[in-house]
Amino acid sequence: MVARGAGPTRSAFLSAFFTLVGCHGLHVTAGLLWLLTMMAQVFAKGYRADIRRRVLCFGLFWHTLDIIWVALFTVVYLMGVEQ
Amino acid sequence: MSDSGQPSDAHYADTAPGDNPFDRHETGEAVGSYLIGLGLATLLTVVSFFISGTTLVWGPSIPVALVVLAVAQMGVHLVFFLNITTGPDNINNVMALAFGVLIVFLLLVGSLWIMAHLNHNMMPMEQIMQMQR
Repeated sequence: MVARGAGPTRSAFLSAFFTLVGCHGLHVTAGLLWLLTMMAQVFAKGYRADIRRRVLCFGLFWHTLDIIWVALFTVVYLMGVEQ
Repeated sequence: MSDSGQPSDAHYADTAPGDNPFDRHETGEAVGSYLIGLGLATLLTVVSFFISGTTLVWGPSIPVALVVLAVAQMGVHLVFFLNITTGPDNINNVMALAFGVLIVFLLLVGSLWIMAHLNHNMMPMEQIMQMQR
């Protein structure tokens, strides 16, 4: 997109697009690292009570990220297409 | 604290969001609920992508339809994935969710309000360019 002249300096919409999608991508990357950590902990330590609580916290983070993604793609992709 | 009249174990009845009560539900039943949620979420996503590019509905109604579909999908996520219910063991979760929604609403609407006023009060761009010459 940057190579085709649609970089974040082009318009306010593209600034918002790159900021929102970039920040969300960073959060998803961190969440994937967390997911791998939780899988390793479950594999190594089993379903102990403290491990279950950690998996629960990760699930809360992950599904909240998912809810935010619904708002993001609606605004950035679907409504961006409209204009 | 001893004679407060409240049942003393009221706080221990709260469940956390996403909490999977292992002793109350069968695992298969829980997995089935998550699969229903996944199906509903996928369906709503496909419908929103379809409706964003279609000419079947009246043009100006498309953004409204997209907002409705997005809110519906958020509801599906809350109910099926985060297990937010209306039960008495979920009051704290619902209150925390309502508070979060309030804060996000204030941030968004307040920002838009301020930006609209700034835009309204700003000198037109041509005059700024002329002053800089």
